[in-house]
Amino acid sequence: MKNLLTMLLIMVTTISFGQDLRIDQSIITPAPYSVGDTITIKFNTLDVNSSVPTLVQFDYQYNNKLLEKISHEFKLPSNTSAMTSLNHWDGYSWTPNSNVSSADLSSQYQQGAYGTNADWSVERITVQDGTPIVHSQTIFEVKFRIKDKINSGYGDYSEVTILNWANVKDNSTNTTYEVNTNNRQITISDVSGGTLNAVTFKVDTPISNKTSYKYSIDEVNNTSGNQLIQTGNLDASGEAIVSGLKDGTEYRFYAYVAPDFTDPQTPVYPAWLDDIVTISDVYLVFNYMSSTDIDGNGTGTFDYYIQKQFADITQLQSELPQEGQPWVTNVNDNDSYVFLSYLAGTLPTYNNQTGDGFYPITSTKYGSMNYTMLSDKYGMQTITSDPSIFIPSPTSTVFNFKAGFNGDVDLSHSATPLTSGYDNVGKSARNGKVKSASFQKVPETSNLDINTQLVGGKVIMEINTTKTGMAGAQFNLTYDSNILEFSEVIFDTGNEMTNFANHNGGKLFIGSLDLKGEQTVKTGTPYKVIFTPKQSITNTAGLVSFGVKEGVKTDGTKVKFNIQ
Amino acid sequence: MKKVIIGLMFLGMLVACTQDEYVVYEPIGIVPETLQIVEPVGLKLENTFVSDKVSVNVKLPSDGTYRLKIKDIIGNLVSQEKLSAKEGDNILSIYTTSLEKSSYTVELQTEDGILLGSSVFVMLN
Repeated sequence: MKNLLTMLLIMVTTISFGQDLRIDQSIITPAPYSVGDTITIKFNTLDVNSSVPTLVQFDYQYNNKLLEKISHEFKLPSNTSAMTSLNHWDGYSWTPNSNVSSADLSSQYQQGAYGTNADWSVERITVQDGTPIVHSQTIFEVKFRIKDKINSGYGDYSEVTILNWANVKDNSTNTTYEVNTNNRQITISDVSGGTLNAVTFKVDTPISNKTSYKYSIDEVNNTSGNQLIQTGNLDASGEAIVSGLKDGTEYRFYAYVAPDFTDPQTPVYPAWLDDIVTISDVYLVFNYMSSTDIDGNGTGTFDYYIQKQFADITQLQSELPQEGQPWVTNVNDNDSYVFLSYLAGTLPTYNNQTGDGFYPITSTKYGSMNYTMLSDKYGMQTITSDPSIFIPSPTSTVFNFKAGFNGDVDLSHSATPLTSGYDNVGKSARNGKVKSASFQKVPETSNLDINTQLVGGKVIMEINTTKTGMAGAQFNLTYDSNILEFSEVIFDTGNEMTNFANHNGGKLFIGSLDLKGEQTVKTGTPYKVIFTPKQSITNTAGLVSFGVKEGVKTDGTKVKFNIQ
Repeated sequence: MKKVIIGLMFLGMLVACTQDEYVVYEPIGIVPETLQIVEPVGLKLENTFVSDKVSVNVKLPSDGTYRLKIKDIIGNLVSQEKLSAKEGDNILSIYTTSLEKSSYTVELQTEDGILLGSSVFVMLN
């Protein structure tokens, strides 16, 4: 009898009864709309079958070419103690599982997949409470500004927000609910107006978190000095819409990744800056330096002139360009070895108060070395005017810029110039018999096994690869320094490799490079990292996470590792 | 006689020590209610919201080697543990301090890549 009751209980909790509730999204701002208007979209649940959820989690996405997010707010008037969370990602869109209805949100949970798509931003809403989350009451409201669809690639405002999936449970009984929606997409109609009173700036950058960029607009005044008139953050599509600029007036636009100045003495830059300059950049510089002139300056070639500019990191600060002007580049041995020393963590200590020990390598250590120019001037060897100046007029309301980072020689996080950028002299030099530091912009991918294990009281992380032909490899790891103490790296990369392990706080950069590009990293387990736990642990999941994981082939092609 | 008694006492102490060790490493059979899994195999997190670590129950079909994978929104693997565990319930921890503040999916897989369970967690800011 007891077994029968248990079986019945299990059946009650696992058998689905069809639809239990719906998630509803709707615009609460009445039509009609104009470009620049703010609209509010709200989300709530609607009960269908006496559901009592204590966890409501769902993903939705919005078209960032047509909408600019302004703000959001959790409402939950009857669940004031609920835990709430919003996660945001730019540059992804959801592909539903085609075997089930896209409106069947609970069946789509963990069945569809996200792919990269610069036009979309995803938000994950999570709400949990000790009492049931009340239906028909607003969970969450989000405000958007309607953007002009001109040059957006979209002909109308259909499907500007889409519900992707939902995971709704009653945690107290371990019941998972069936969730559908009658409003999976929102379409805005009756949008009028245009850009007559607004100027749009479009910044081309391959980074996904484009809102990290701040922009500033100065009114140019050659006598009393430029005056800052507008500043803000780029939106998720890398754009900014600005009003109030005067017809025929000269302005300067620049974009930059700003640090967190909570502690003004110690600005904190976003961690992803450390993903920009990696082993493939360093390898390209060494490759470039494999042929030199009588003065020891590199005479190799880069595909784009801007790569040479980004490789030239040993200029004195006084020689760096002012007001966005390009600089004359001269890449030499110093540059290549400073790059390598940077990865290895052997550069002199940088004093951010005095500037001593500074190198313009984009990183959390030195900051973001930004480079923003009008698209047709970005990366050009010969420029006769300030490449960031623009003059708006009723016929010139959209300005295209490109952005890059100093040190990013392989342009992994920088826009690709419209042309090679070399002037005539440069083009002639490129035809000489020199070793090319050319590269494939599209990296190869290769599978890799990285895992941690608890072995004999130590946390062992092994990196196993079967990839051949790599002149270098790099892995950026982050570990929980409260629980683990870094002990050592055991390299088995081959006798000729220059190995490095740059350890700083909870970050560890390890890798190898053959400076001549003749030897390759051994396959098997070239790297084994050993940590000692500071406290008793039962397992290791999440103690070490992987950031940059890439290799570079002897021909300069980047290898992106896909961890299995 | 005195030496024999002392020897016996010493032997008894040694045996007792061995017994203590045995008790410490004996698997605990009680699974907290928040981590109980009714299905024969699977994975369950103690909470959807996570600060620095969260308990997880991985219920396995047999003794062996398995993988706990933590993936980002696009499915990229950001952390992975290779673990040897026993059949049935195994109460483990997912540590999150090394991860960027975001939301992740944790997956339990066999060494052959067969998915046995998964769950989404959200890191508290």
